[in-house]
Amino acid sequence: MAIGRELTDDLIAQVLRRLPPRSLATSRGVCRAWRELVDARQLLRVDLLPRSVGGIFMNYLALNSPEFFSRPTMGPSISGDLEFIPGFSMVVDHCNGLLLIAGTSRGHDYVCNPATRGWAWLPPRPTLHMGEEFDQIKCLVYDPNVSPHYKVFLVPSLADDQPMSMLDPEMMQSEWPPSPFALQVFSSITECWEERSFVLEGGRLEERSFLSKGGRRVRAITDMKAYIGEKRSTCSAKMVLISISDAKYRLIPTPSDVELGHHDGCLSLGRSEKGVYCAFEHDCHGLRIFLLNESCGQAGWELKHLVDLTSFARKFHARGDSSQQHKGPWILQDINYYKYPYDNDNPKELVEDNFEWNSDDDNILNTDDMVEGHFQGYTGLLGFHPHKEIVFLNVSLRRAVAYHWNISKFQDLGNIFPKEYLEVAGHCAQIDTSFTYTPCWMDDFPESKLEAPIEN
Amino acid sequence: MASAGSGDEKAAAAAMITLISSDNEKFEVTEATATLSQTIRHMIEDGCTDGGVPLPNVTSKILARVIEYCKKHATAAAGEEGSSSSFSDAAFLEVDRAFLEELEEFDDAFLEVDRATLFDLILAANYLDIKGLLNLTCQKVADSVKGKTPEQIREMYNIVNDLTPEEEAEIRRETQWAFE
Repeated sequence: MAIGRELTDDLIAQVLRRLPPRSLATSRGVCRAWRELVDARQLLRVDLLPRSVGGIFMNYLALNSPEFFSRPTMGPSISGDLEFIPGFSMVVDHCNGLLLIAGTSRGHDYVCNPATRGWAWLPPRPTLHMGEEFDQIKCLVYDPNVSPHYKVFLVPSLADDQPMSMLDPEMMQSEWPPSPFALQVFSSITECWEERSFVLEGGRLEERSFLSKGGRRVRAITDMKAYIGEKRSTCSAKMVLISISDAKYRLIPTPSDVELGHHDGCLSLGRSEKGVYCAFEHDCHGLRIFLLNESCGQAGWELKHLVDLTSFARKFHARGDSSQQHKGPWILQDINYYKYPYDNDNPKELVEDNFEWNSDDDNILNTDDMVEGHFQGYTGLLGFHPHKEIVFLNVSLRRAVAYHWNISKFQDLGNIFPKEYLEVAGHCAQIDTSFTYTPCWMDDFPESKLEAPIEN
Repeated sequence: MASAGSGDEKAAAAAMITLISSDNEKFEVTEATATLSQTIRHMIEDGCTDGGVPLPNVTSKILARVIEYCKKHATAAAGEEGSSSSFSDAAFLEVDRAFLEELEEFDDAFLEVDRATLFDLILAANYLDIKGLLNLTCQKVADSVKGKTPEQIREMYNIVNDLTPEEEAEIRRETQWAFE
């Protein structure tokens, strides 16, 4: 049965246009006729896929809503104001253009696409039967290349403020995570939570792998694999790799030359050009970037780069205030300032800034010619660029900088200090969590049949 | 053969249309069933269905299947109209849901055919302009292609690979992200 002789080009196109992007890309490789069909009718819209960075979503302590630090674009602009979510909210996770949002005032979780404004709420999370010591890490998994549907995983972890001594002694004796490891999974296909078991693959580590004592959770999602670890820790950190497609999980040790425990080191996970990366920041030791090598049976970390951020922060600060007055080129949308003004009840009108900028080469800082000042500021990681060897840095909560670590170049991005933030937050001023955002313009956000949650 | 005046709505609802397959078999169907096909709907509107509608592109075997689909979906459409005019009561919604599930099961069973029949159904749905049937059958073929390698797709649908190795390499380069 030869499809080409049976069906006309129009009908083959009817079939192909129903394929998700990845299958459509594969179908171009079947024969010349199919490639010409896909190309001539522009069935494959790569421009809609989350393939470039659109900005960074950031949760600031003491602000009601997440802020969006937006990259200037020639295309349609994206608002970080998620007006369909009532009350306070924060971004919990990001995956390929979708955000997982916790509505903190009413306790509902949302999944939304800021580019297409598609959104849905999740049904109430199932309660854990493991005791109050446990919290849940929420992970969003979405790949528009394969399907418009998304999943949300709940991974049990130790609650932030629980001392180890509070744990059930039996639990202290047992291995953790257990195997099989039961996780609650929400799927937008069935629109309900279901328990799924994951089996340990590979060996256990010497120490038990509690997620996550006294630390913030970090995660990186690639191709149906979720890497979950902890950001700051008083005991040694472990990472769990959950492979969604084959219902397995593995334990990955932290980079061997990273000493956690004594100082305020900070660990971050992210996906970038060559796979999964781990960044370790330390005031005295700079920023170290590792790449996860999974090629040989035992997964391990390879040190790829080391940069002295203290020196950079001093030089950056020494440029003086005038250079810090510029807003752009990237723009903090100041959503909280316009929506929840600090000193009066009248919401302020949003002013649109337009900057013509879309190049990686603009605003390169020539650090060789810069002189170090006496500044004792800090530099923190905001996130990894998902496709390039770039990390986004927060310089003393004032400016965001992109660091191209393959060529050791810093690039000034813009102001990240929200308007009137000092008045609102005082000494609490800090970025809690941040997510590099890649807009997805695929207009096929799954329709939800769920009833509206009851407000209480 | 009842060819009622098209001005009278009640008579039109009960009116029967004769469809004639390529192998000259006659099928008598209600106008409601026949007008799921936009092609036949236009013929009826133009008043050229007296003495039957010849369908030279559709065999009796395929036409029988197409009519089976249209009958089921015409009753579904009629049911929907009925329920929307009445107040939306929980009981009605429950009936609606059960009916939709039944319709989905019907569609799944309907698609349990060999590949040649599936292609014939696509051609018939296209010729007769039946949107629902075209959507259903094209999706079935798309689902069979999804997640397969080019080689598997060629084998499944008997397609000759006329791409040179250079062209294949180029395609992979252009859409590297899809093969990662």
